[in-house]
Amino acid sequence: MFKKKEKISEEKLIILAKRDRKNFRYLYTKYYELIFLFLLRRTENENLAQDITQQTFIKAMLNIEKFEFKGFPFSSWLYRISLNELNLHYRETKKKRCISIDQSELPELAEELPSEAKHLSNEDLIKSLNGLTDGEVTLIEMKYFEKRSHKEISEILGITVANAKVKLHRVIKKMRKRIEVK
Amino acid sequence: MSDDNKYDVKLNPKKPNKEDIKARMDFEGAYKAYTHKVYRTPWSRFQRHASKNNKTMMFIILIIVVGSLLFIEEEESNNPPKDVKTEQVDSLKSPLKLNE
Repeated sequence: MFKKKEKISEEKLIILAKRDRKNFRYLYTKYYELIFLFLLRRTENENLAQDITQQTFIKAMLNIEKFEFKGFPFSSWLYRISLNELNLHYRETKKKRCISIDQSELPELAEELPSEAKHLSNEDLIKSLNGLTDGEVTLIEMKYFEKRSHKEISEILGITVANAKVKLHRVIKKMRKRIEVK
Repeated sequence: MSDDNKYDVKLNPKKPNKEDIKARMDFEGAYKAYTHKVYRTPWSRFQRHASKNNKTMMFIILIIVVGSLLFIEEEESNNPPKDVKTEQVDSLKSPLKLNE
């Protein structure tokens, strides 16, 4: 359909997909890698990440009529669906939730914690994550491990930027408290 | 579950190649699953075209409302409410009771 290498806006792709779901292929190809890696980080299992990614796109195809342009990108909407699907998976299987961390990502998180924490090992930092709820871990993952902005986090979680900031502040406070007690 | 191992934390995970990810893509499979879900029941078939069916939906709702109103009217005309006879006493016609 698009043989020439012309740039087609995201909005146009969505309109085309709304008209005929076969046109969803362009959105699928565009965002597959993004969603797959997002889920792989939270599952550490390529086959499972593939299954949930597929589910995410099926849900997106079923509900694309409900998607409206409100100033945030289509990827945020897909991230939100994938997070819901992931939570559903962990709720149904009752398995431990997976957190993947690159060691280079930990210092930034340590900077937010009290000065004593800087001398703590990575293990201690990781242990402090265990005191958080699923939602709180998601916030930490997005902000410190995936380096997302407050705006992006708010778009994915469907909350205001101010609310995202407040929630993150509370999570950091909770982690600090946990480290101080230890 | 104890608080200390609530999550399965993995350090320095391996990232798959772009080619590996591409090999996992299966739009045909997703589309097939989508069509299967959409056309499974008449209701989901209707929902699928909900945005195009606004006029039909309004018409159906209107018929349901008018139908239920007619039904209530019919019920009321078939079973009129029973008149409750109340005893009325005309104070002017009742005999005056003077001091005996």
